[in-house]
Amino acid sequence: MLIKIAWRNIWRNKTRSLIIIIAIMLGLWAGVFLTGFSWGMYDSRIDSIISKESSHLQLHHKNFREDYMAKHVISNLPDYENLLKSDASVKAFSSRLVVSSMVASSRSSLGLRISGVDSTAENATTQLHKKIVEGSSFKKRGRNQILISKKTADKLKLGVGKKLVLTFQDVEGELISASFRIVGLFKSGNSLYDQSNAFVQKENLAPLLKLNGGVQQIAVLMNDEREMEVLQTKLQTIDQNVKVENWRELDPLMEYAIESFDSSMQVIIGIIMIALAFGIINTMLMSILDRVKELGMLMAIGLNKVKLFIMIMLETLFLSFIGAPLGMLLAYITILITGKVGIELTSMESGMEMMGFSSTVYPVVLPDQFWKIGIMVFVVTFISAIFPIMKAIRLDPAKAIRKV
Amino acid sequence: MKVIEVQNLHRIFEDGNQQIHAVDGVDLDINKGEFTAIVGPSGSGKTTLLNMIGGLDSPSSGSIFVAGEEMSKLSTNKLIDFRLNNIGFVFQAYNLIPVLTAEENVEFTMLLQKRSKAERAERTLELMNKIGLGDRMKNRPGELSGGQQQRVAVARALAPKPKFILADEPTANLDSKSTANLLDMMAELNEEEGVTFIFSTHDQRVIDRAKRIITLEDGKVISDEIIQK
Repeated sequence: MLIKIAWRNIWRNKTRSLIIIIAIMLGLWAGVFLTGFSWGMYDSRIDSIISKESSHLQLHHKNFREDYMAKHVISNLPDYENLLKSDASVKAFSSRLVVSSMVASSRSSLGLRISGVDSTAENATTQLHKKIVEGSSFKKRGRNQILISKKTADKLKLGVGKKLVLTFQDVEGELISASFRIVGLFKSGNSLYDQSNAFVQKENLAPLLKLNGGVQQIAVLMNDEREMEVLQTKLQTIDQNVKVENWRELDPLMEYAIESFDSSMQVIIGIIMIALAFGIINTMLMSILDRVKELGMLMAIGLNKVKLFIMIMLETLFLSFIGAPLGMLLAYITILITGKVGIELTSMESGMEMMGFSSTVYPVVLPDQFWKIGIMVFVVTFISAIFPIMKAIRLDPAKAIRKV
Repeated sequence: MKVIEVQNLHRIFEDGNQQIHAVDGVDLDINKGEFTAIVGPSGSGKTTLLNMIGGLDSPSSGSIFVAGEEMSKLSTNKLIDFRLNNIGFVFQAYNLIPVLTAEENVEFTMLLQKRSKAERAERTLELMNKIGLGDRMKNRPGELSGGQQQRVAVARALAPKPKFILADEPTANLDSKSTANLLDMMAELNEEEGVTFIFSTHDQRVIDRAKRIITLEDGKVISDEIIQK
């Protein structure tokens, strides 16, 4: 009977109940959608880090990342190549020569990290060929070809077909200069990456570095990230002078950004929940103040405080039970649609790319967030109802009955 | 048999620096089967006395025994249960639960008593027929006249089989015909089933039907009269 009374009570003032149901619905929708949207942004960034930039794992000589000197070489390359070729969890890998270089055109100069790659392996690992926006990828004919980013080309005021001069130290520390011809311009969607990277062919760079076998870097792309740590451990055991790092370790800033994403989402969801709590308190308080006489009568005829608590709590939970699933459904539909078509943030494009984020965001459904936020809504509803309920419980039935 | 025993009852309200003696040393006994009207001008202490007898208000001093139990000694929760099982209330403004049907309103107190579904259904039907509203069981209070609502309120008060029924100005909102019908019904319940009724009232029509009239003035009992009919 208490359930029946509570259910019917919420429909006594339809407008008021609908307003709070809509508030719960929008609160939940906003919370779920916002996390889906933000995670979509990070997810595409992580995806891009893995599939287009650093891959899942990278191997370097243990000292290489300290000074990026060409002399820090992974010497036992065949051991790694054999393992990587035979491991089913590996999708592709690219062994690279990496050198820090000064790049000069007739008009300008700047610093770049030059990667000497095998075109086929690199395309399979980082889809380099798909990033070309002008010119082409490496051609079969022609020595000393270079791919630079569109951004670098603009800075150097150079275009496809033009030459530039690379100056770097070989493995012995001697300064070497060589001229390369630009065959293509690439754009990865991450300005920082574009501004600091250029690609040449491994066979052209190796003799310049005076390197006979061995590479500075091996990037490994996996079929499934869940197997990353197993392979990392396996690779690490081959040579203690080679350090195997995963994408999180390679990009601690991204790791930090993901952690701060979690906390900033919690703050935003917290604010939404506080707003929701005040909405519920206000609605339930109005509902109780409207029924003082009736509540007094119920207490007079024998409804004890526990039952009164249950009755009003049920009313609040019913509002929540209607609003929350509707909010979840709305969020699910919104994320499903926007997750397919994407949300264009054209006005923020340059800023987003500067941070490595794509300007088209595809929100993702996070089942965990659905339940977490759903449970939070119920907890907030429950806690918010307590203050109005206490107000009702403290009513003096004798006075309440006479209330006009 | 004494149902209510009131001994040297006082109720003092504070109003700023002033003390108002709403009930001032009342002694009275109510026996089973009485049809008693507590009368007196406004501010004489009728409602305060009724509230204390009903366990809705606590005395400043003195005692009230209902069915041998001293009410002021009961904890709040026990008092609520005590009211549920021993006292029926009929209010001036009917005060039915608006979202429940007439039938559900009558059933409600029995549900709080945890009576079985079959027992509840049987007693509800019996009471609804007794008050002449057997055909209006599924109507909500808003669909009933004032007189009909007050009859349902009486049925609800009777449902948990209380020791007595307290009716605070039960006819104040009713027209003459409804008042007469309601009083006929209450008198019949009193005479045929021995239900004890205690009214607080101004209404001469109620006073005329009472078997005992207790008159209050300034919180004191100034007369207590048994009417021979």
